[in-house]
Amino acid sequence: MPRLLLLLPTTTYRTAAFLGAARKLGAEVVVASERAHVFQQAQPGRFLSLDFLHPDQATRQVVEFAVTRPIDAVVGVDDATAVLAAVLSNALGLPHNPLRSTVAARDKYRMRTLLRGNGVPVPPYALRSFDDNPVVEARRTAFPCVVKPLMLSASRGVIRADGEAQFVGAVRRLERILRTPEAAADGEAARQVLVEGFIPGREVALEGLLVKGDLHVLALFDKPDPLDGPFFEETIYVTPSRLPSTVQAEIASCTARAAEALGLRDGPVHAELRVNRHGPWVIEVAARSIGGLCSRTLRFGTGLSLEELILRQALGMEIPSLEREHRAAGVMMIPIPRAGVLKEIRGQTEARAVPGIDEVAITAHPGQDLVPLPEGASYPGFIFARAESSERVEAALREAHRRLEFVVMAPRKPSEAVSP
Amino acid sequence: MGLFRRWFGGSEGRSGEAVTGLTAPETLEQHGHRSAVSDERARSDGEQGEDSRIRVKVQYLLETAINPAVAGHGGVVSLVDVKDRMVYLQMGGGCQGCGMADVTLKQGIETMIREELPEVVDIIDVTDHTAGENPYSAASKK
Repeated sequence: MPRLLLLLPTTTYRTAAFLGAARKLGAEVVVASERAHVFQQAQPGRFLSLDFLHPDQATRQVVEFAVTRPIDAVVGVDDATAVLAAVLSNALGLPHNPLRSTVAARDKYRMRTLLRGNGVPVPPYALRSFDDNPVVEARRTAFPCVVKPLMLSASRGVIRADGEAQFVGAVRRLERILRTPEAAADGEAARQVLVEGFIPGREVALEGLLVKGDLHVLALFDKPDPLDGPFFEETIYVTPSRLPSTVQAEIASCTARAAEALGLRDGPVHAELRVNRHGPWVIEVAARSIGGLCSRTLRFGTGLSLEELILRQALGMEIPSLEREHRAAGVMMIPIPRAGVLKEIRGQTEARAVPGIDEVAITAHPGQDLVPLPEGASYPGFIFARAESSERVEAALREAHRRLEFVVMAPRKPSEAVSP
Repeated sequence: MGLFRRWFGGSEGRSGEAVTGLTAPETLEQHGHRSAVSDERARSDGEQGEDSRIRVKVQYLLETAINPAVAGHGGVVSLVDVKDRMVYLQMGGGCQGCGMADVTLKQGIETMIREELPEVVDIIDVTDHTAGENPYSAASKK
């Protein structure tokens, strides 16, 4: 039985999908998280607590662990753990992406520098520090622009500015976000800001699997809701894309060149691109799979999940098919309706009754603080649909969402704040 | 019953008593101290009898090993039913809605139950995790 080391942050949405896939493949799983699990002492062969922020220490622990319990693959599930997976795989002598590639894929500035240097189209960009005077910086910035943190994901901290005053406000707001303990753990990166030109156009997401340097496109998602700012809340993803096949081919080619420029060779990639009359522009290429619960939209071959594909590749198992099912599929990341404390979400039965709806997965809990972007870090839940066409999938998602009613109480006062 | 030595060290009976004051279920059964529910089931056909035996052992594991552990995170796990060698569990407190509930169930609880009761077909979590009001870890998009 192969032994798999899964790097699972305690806050990830991806736990159930990866554990389920590992079970189907018959792999023995060792779960490594940043906090000790309650069963770690009772079952030391199945749990590790690793400091994800200190790879050297984590490496020593894992190498020592592997002396008595050899590990066949290390898999991370998000941006941070993808980097650590490369570090640990290197120490254990397992196949892995080059460390510099995973680091570059995690750092928006390094990524853009490598992409631009290799002729991959990216928005014009500049690196600024929070130590710089934003009023002065605003005067030498072209508008509209987008300010971004270097390392957060899912649009967190991303703000559009159309003029100098908005720019100053956006930078100061981002600085406050990056002062939170979780974001500040990124060190120097949390003291810097990426300023890039706003690229008008449609946005798409490409889910792919790299096999020995070749990109296999698993799915191309349209994002039918306009993402023009001032914040960039992701909502609906639908596949297959309704873009012309020539444009889809350009997107795939552009993503493949981006992965090559970063030096990524194996494993999942999740890319975000803008498309306009000039062609595709790479916004992100992450060395991980799609986030949240969104992978539930994807089935391959005879029903394999995305996570099964990823684990099969990592464990050196045969991958029977990389072909997605023929039906259209989509997900809505339920938008935060407003800031406040969630009391309940009504209408779930009615939402599930919409033809084409597979699942309404509510992940927020009663009493949870709902925090909209750009500060927010979680979704109330996800809606999944399948139908004969992308149009029907999109319509089903919108109708199901319309039937949900969010009962949200006033935000807590700072003195009432609860720890996460 | 090597499981108890691995979890608590020492001999089974001693360590079991040290944790909860209970003795192993086999000992209870030998002395005729089975619950009314399990007695009723034991009188029926063999399959129900097996479910009854599984029920007693799972309950014992919950009380002596599983719940003392999850209590550290404010959690609690209850046995809802055993039917056709399928074990139905419900998670509460800090486990309900916790982002690591799957890990707790599949890596921890399930491993413990299967080591002790390999005849168990499956372990099903029947918790409504969306109703958890105080999960120990909540998922977020990092």
